[in-house]
Amino acid sequence: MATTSSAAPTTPTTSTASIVQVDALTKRYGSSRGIDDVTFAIRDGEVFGFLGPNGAGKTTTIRTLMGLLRPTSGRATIGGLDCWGQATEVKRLVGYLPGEFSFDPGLTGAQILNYLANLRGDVDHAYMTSLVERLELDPTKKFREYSRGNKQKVGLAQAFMGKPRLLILDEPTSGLDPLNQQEFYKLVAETRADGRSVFLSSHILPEVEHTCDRVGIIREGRLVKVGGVGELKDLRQRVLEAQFGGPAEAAWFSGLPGVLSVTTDEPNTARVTLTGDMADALRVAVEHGALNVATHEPSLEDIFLRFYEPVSEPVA
Amino acid sequence: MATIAARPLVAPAGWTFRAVWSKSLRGYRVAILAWGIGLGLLLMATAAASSSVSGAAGALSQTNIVQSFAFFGDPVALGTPQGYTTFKFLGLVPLFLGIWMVIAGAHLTRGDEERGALDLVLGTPISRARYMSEKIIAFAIGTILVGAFMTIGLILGLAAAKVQVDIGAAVMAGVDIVLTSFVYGALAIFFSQFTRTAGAAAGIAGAYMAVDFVVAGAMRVSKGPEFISGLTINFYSELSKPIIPTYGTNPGALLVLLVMSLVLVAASIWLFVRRDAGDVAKLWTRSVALRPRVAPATAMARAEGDISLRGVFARSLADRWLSIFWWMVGIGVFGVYAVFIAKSAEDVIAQAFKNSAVLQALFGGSNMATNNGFIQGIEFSFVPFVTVLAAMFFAINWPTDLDRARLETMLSEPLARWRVPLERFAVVVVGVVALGVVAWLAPLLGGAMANFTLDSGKMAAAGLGLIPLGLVTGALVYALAGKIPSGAILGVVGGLASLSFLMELLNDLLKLPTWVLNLSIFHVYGQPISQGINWTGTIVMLVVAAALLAISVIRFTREDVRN
Repeated sequence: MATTSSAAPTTPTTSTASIVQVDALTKRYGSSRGIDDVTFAIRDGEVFGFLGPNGAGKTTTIRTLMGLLRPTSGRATIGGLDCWGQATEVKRLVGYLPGEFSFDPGLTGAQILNYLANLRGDVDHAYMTSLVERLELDPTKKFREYSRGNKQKVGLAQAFMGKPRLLILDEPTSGLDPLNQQEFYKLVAETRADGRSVFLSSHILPEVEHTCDRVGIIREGRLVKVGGVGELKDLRQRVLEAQFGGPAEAAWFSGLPGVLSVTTDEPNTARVTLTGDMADALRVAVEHGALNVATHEPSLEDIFLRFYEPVSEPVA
Repeated sequence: MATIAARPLVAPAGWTFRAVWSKSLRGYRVAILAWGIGLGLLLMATAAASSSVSGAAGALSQTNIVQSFAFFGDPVALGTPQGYTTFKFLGLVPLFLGIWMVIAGAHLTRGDEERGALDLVLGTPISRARYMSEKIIAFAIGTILVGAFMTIGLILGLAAAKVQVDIGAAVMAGVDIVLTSFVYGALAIFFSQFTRTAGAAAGIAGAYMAVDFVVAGAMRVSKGPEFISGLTINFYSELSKPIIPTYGTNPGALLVLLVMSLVLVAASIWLFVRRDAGDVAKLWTRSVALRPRVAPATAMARAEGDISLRGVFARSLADRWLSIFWWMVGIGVFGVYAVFIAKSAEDVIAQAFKNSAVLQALFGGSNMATNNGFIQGIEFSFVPFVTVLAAMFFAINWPTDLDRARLETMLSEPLARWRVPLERFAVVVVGVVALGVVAWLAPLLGGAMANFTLDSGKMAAAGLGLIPLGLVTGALVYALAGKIPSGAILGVVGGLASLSFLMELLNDLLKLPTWVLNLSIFHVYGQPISQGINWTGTIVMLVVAAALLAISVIRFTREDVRN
């Protein structure tokens, strides 16, 4: 698991203006689902995390925003420009890292970056070179000679080099070692401090927790939750584990508000899973002579997994 | 308590997915059918029609004139349907089938490596030697099946010509074709161990095949030293003429072809099991000092000044210029060489052609009684086909890049989508125009060197008339891009080009309806030297090229980009 970043956001400085606006966006691949009725917005200066398991629709959403996929219905705009109809203008505002960064294998890192800089125009070459140095990329090697992590560094450098208003990054730390992950977090923090926005997809929850202002969770093509990282934590379940001098009974806790489940599988121990205030549960535990009480703080990962529990269908 | 609904199980795969060889053979199935049936039908038609002209051709064979045409194959027993069919078609078939063999051979392992599939397959408990051996077995089975189709076509054609058919001889003719073309394919497999891309290996093997054919032909005409002939593959192919009863099969020659194949295959396997996956084979390891590290800032500054990185066109031209250059050299050298062949046989051929419709039929209708006509018959019978193949290779990196999702990052730059295919196609235009100009000027240069008078205007018509052919071919590749894989595009376009060329070459025999002939771009190209440029056809080809390119561009701007 990735280490936490020192570049974690402090007080958000985002404005209320939206750089990205997605309204009822749907993309289907023939009869297959891509994304369905996705709506969200990203504010100027905001770092927005996009979470979801494989095949949930993260990359489809990102590629639709980049004008690489044509929406089946709905609309996405960046900077007020339509992502499909005004794709060229949109891309002047955006730096993009695809999920699988692939390029002409015979070109060196330096050639790739300069080629893309020429296509983009208005790239500060000194800044581009500084990115290469910060990411410790050897630009003299050919693309085919790079490891996966080094290919990712080329991809990150080309995404950041134009100092775009919005960075769209699909799994940006994939393949990076921890040191370079830290450098990436710093780049994100600098971008945010500049008042520019970042839209990143990730599987690494601590990374999202420590770098993003808000998070969207996508599941089976539908956005199931959008909120601040703090809001998501409010939804968390907590576990209270109480040890007693004798056998514990589930009935002591099962009627309390917010209690989801009680197990007494271990001898003299009750394990209570609950949401919201745990004062009542603590009181009951003390009343029954609890010798030891411990609470577990579920990570964002636990919350995340709640959203991804498989859809249950009734038995026919 | 609700339960999770059971997910459907993955459908069991068919037998073709049970082994490397069967999976590979499955990949060849379309090509086997297309090339096998296509060449089989043409062979059947040629053999069936051969009795109508073989008698007249036989009269010519009594003279020493025919030896002048040995460039195209040994003229033996031209007076018989079997001899005529052998001279007119069987000698050339390995060359055409070789196109597919070279493309498929180059992709045999390198294609998997380029797609990144090799690591995955080698991650299973299968040895490298077994992996490659099974791939080669599939390749060999595919070749044999194509050969079987052709053998059946030959037998049916000769039967239709009311010739007593020796089934064994027909089978040996098929064996000769299969072995010869397999050597070309094995060469491509071998070269692909030393190249980073399958395209490069196919280009080198294709060029080797063309040079091999030209050298063998030149040695037959000039009766050059046998040790030089013996270095060519085509020489051993020509030693067997199984369906000609008085000539027969040369088991030694077939054995040489078989040994060549086995040696190349064994060497390729030996190299493959020893080299790094994804890398090229290194025959010796040099103890070199580590490359001195160039400062990142220096490397970045150098790249900043590189004009080939200024835009899509510049980058694409830089990527293709070497390929364009070598095709230009090849066509240029052949153009000059054709003049020297013409010069050496000038008098005897001019005399022979004066009143011989049969000879004209032998060379696709060209009247070689004049200098210009001779160049038409030798150079501009084959260069259009070469130009079409070149255009196909100039254009193929577009569908390849689409297949490999290499455009995603470029398309994230503020660049109108329509500009990308158009700027890339501009390089195809540059390459095709360059070939047209070389095809025009090379015979004039040869004429100046050999004191052989040629009409500059007619050479210009023949050379520049090639440009629409190349543009149609390149535009067809672009139109198919994204719809079918790039490897299949090579097979389809290469197959269509071969079929069109053979239809035109065999026109006098097959007597195809005009509307069918007009589908052949080579028929539309016609004979600019003797009949002038076919302006209507040229305009139609340019319009078709523009339409195909427009389809490609419009589709590219409107459709999803695959990742």
